[in-house]
Amino acid sequence: MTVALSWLLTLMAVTLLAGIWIGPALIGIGVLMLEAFTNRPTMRLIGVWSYNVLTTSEIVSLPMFILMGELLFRTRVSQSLFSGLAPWVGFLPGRLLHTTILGCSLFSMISGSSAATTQVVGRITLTELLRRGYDKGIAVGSLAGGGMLGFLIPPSIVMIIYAVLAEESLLRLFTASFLPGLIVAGAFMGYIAVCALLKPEIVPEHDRRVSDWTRADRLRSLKELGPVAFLIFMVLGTMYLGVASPSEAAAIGVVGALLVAASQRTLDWRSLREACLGTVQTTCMIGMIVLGAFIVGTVLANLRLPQFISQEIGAWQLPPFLLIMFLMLFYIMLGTVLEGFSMIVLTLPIVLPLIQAAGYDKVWFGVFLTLTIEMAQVSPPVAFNLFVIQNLTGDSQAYVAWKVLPFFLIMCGFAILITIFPAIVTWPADFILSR
Amino acid sequence: MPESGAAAPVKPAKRGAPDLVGRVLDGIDRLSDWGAWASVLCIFGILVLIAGEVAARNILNVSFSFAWEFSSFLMGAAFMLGAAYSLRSGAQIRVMAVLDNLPPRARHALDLFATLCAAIAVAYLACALAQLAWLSFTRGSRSEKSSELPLWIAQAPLALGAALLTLQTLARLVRLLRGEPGEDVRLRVGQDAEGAAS
Repeated sequence: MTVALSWLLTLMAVTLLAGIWIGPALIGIGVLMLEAFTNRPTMRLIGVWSYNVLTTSEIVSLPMFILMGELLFRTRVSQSLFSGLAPWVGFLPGRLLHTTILGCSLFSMISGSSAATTQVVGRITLTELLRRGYDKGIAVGSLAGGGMLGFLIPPSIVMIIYAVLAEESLLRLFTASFLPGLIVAGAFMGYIAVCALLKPEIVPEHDRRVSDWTRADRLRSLKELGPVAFLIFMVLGTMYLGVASPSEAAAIGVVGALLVAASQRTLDWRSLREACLGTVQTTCMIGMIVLGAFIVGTVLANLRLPQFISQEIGAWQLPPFLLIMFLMLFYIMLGTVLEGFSMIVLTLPIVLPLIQAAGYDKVWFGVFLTLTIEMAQVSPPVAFNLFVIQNLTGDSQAYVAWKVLPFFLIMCGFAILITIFPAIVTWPADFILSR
Repeated sequence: MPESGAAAPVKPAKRGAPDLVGRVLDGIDRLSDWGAWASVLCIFGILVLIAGEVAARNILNVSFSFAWEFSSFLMGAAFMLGAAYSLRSGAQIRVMAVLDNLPPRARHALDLFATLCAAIAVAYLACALAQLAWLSFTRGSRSEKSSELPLWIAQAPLALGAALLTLQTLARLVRLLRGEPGEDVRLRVGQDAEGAAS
């Protein structure tokens, strides 16, 4: 068994470093392990498993959410988020800086992707903040921080992948991650407010007094937010009203995005074509790595490796809390060189049994893993959310990474908090879904 | 997404009159494009099926039991048929950390090695999926769900997509040997593309 495990780890390290695409590399590892350590018909099994995972019904929502993001990217939602939120934050210390976090939170309820959230919210909001003379560091940091909410607040592509690989209910995962998402968003806004109180100069002079937006402004802003509210209703509303399952809600969301795009007349054939091809590129990329991860995971299960690992770890008598903290460090380190999706698919087959052996719930771990993946999205050198912001502002990666550090630490703190109080995650899901 | 090959130095392909190999490579690209559009069709097929099912169930109170079944078939097809195109556009994820820090000759050699390994792995996948579809065909297996669709119809597109991916991976190998760039970065259009280009 130890032989199989060391082979697995060696092969993973070698294929990754050699730059073999993650999907094909994992398929190859699965085939080799199956040939070497079992005498089952490898080719038959690979065929059946591949077909089974690629036609799992939960995974159908994946291209839908990606397509929705691609469509919205090409609408005026970016603009609406800023002008719709601005009149409502005038009384908060930090003023318009909160539009990044709020915008990201709202857009996260529509989109399943962290990078898309950063992109769509950042495009207008960041430009506006800088033009008005807000402190650049905190504006950039709050956008990168807010972008981290993209995967955490449902819907979430990461959760869909986790649900498929861990065989967990997507609705439970989505429900469980709501409260954590709101708490983190609140903590981010609290941090911004504290910064603004300590260092008033981060808010430009003319915005420092409490601004008096008129009722007309607010009414107009509600109209601006209309499309966003409509989309949130299409995705989350239908899901929780029981009109649609989580996977179906994604399709409803696409219909909503098409309607919004049509009403704003922002979609021409060219951008529709780009949205379609962009969807295929991302979908097939994720499909390949999910396929590879599923094959490796199933091979390992066949070798009874998960049981072996959990027995070994169990023998160490490690307190669960320490185990989780150790995992968090491990993921943060891994997150510097890998991006989120690869991180889940590469580690889950080994880590999940370990977590269950330590007595943690699968839904809880889904949320925890999402938090660590969000951190990976902003930890350089391979940090996707940072790439997006670098493209918006032209700053160096080190600068953006440094500015997002406080938000990163808040995220770490929150991960520790839910490890101590797992009920923050599990209670809402149990409460809402048990009725 | 991030570590795609899109970061590789770009040299727009310049060809006067392409030679035979060049024409074959272009042909494989065209096949990959068709695969991508087939994948788009599948995705919109899913959209229509599911949105239709939700509407019918909530408004007309009729449920189409086949909607979910067919959309999962389409999903499988969409995943594999577009794979070749996503490889060509540089969207597939790989770790570039080592490659990017090697001297040009070593980088080229390692890239060749990685492409060769990937080609073998996806060729195996293509064989496995083809065998699966062939067995379903010869045995006449049918879907266990309501439609009772012959399973080979759902499985063959996956095999076809994997075969296309194998072709495209081999094409990449040939391109590298000819000193051409492995990816066509002009194809990157997704919202994620802007990040990858940095």
